Amino acid sequence: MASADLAVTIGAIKMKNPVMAASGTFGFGREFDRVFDISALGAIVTKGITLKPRAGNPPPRLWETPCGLLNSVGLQNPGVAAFIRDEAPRLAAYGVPVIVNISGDSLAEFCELASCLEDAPGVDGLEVNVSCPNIHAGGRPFASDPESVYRVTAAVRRVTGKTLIVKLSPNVAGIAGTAQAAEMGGADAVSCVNTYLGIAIDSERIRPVFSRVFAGLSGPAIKPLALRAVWEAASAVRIPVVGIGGICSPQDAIEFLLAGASAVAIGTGNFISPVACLEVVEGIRSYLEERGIRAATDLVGLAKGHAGHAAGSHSDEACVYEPKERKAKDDFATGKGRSHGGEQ
Amino acid sequence: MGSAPAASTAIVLENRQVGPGCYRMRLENEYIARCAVPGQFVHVRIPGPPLDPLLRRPFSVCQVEPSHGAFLILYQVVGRGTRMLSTLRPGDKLDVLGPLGRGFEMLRVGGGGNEGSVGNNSRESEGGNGIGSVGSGSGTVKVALVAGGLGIAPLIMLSHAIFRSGVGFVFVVGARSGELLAGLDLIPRASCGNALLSGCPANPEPASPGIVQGAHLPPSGCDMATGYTGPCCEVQVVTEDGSVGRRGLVTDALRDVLAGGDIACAYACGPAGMLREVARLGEAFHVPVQVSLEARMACGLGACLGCAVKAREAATRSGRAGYLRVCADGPVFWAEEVDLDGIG
Ligand SMILES: Cc1cc2nc3c(=O)[nH]c(=O)nc-3n(C[C@H](O)[C@H](O)[C@H](O)COP(=O)(O)OP(=O)(O)OC[C@H]3O[C@@H](n4cnc5c(N)ncnc54)[C@H](O)[C@@H]3O)c2cc1C
Ligand SMILES: Cc1cc2nc3c(=O)[nH]c(=O)nc-3n(C[C@H](O)[C@H](O)[C@H](O)COP(=O)(O)O)c2cc1C
Ligand code: FES
Repeated sequence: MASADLAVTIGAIKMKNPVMAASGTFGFGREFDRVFDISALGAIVTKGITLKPRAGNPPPRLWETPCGLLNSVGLQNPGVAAFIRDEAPRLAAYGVPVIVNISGDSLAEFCELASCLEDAPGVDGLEVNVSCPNIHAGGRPFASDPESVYRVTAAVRRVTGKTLIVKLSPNVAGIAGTAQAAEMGGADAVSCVNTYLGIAIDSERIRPVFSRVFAGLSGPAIKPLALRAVWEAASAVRIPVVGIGGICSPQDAIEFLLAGASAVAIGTGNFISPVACLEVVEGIRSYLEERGIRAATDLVGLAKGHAGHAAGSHSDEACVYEPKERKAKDDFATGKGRSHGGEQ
Repeated sequence: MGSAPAASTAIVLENRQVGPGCYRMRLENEYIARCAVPGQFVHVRIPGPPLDPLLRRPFSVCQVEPSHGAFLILYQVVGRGTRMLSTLRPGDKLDVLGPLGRGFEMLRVGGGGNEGSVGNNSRESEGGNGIGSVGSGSGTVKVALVAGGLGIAPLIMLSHAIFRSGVGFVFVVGARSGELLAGLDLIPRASCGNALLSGCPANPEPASPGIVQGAHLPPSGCDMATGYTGPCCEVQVVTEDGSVGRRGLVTDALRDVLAGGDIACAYACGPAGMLREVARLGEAFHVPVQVSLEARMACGLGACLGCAVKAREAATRSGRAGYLRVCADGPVFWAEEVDLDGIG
């Protein structure tokens, strides 16, 4: 049969295949490009960028768990100006769509970041990391309630014409609500999920391993949880969902597509095999060709057709979130104290 | 930047116990045998149930045999990954990623050539703080190598390179007790007819194992029996329990070596406390010190920023404010580049 069509579209971004490198695990492409030709990727999502350079958290930053990885990198990055100057031009030259992951601690900061990147050459899209703490909400992450996700999305939408993806946190009561909030705020897509907050305890030294106590769990350990999040988000919104969480093999990626993801991103899997993304692209291709399926897009959400009532999905008609557009400033929790937040 | 890292298969040729919990593994991998420079490491995927343990494990390249397409690692069983490695048999396959990291920076002898440079991986080639050329002929220039426990691994390969470049060395090897001394037989020895000094400067392959524990090889430029006038290679053994060689700490012996003058540079690998003391001694005796550091790693390539070590200067050459990456900016650093109080 004719070769399978792997192309997918996220917002205005045309990807030649549905596989992206996930934020924070692939740097700015430089290191992995020494190992393989990264122009084969569907898209690259950069390390999280902030307005000012950030030094990151003190070591240790990593802790292996059974089939998982806890990290507390602390958003170490050179800042948006240095990114635009030193990284964007080279990234653009790979000929792969570049999605810049942005983190801010206020709406204003997100908007400024988005404006800075609006005219940067070679930036095709923004992925808004709403897992970072909102200093105007006592350090609670933006991601923690639909209202703040809506506000941040709507604010960034007003200043950017680029493809806008909102990266949802799984550390919420219901991801369907935050997914809908992002959709109503004007997002072109949502990505799910960021890392799950966890803790590691050092029993030798009788103290937490990480200086910030909480750290983000990723890798195969979170895959079933992430699949559920993708299933629920994809059931709640009409915009595409990018599935992330523990993908290491083509099989894993296909499961995410079947659960409703239109594309996938690979994070921790890159550490196990530096060519994981390539292997996944090729594996998806063979899966389609072996089954005579015409296109990767045909897989999206296919498993859902077989789900009964017990599937726990939010049905399409149920709107979980409605933006309130409250004007009061104190509509967020105002508790003090600094966040341990799952920022990487 | 040195040779690009590659993920490839290595076949176990030999996996021999050389002490309590200490193993020496000889692996066939033409690329690493040809490209690795002293101080670099390989990132090894532990064969086991799929994705368990998840992350690769870093090990220094201890010796290369380019003509056999083989290399050695020397490792201690400390946890699950190393325990699984110790069960491998000849013929088993390992997935290795490498060579990785920046190796040791070598002295150049006699002002000319770059014989003694660690090749294109050298910081000198980037206009960094190379120590340049010292001395004028063999026999006069000496460096010190300081190993604590399995920290000897990268220094063995370095000692061969130093020896070939015509520079002499005093290799101070320490362990808690004599049975934990591993790899002494891999240190090059001058061919001066002495039974203990088998190896030959013209032969970069490791000398056949011999009994040298506790031996003091002859000092500088010895011209015993055969009139050998090559560079000095003196080995001093120190154990904490005095079971072999001098009793005490490896740094006690180093102090005496440095006090004797003539040492142009010291290279150290071992526990954090030892490295701090070596750095302190280097400062006291005005001898530049290079240290090889360890940190928990995920990607091993420089992309995930997980293996951070605090930089001594706020603004580092690499432009990464605050932290350096052990896997890519190191694992070898000049002692003054990093905050050694923060490690271990
Ligand atoms: C650049 C470099 C070179 C090294 N070279 C050698 C060598 O030549 N010989 C040798 O015996 N050991 C070496 N080590 C240490 C070796 O990597 C660890 O002993 C090994 O990873 C332990 O794995 P495990 O599964 O047995 O232990 P576990 O404690 O079960 O490992 C759990 C996790 O912690 C990490 N970890 C544990 N100890 C260390 C450590 N000391 N350094 C880094 N990560 C660690 C593991 O990689 C793993 O991710 C080196 C480390 C680095 C960073
Ligand atoms: C070391 C590390 C750094 C990360 N940095 C970021 C980041 O800067 N911004 C972000 O949105 N997500 C970041 N993430 C989250 C990943 O992009 C991904 O959402 C998560 O790891 C789950 O996918 P995985 O299981 O495939 O790794 C990071 C993850 C890891 C492991
Ligand atoms: S281990 Fe990823 S940057 Fe060093």
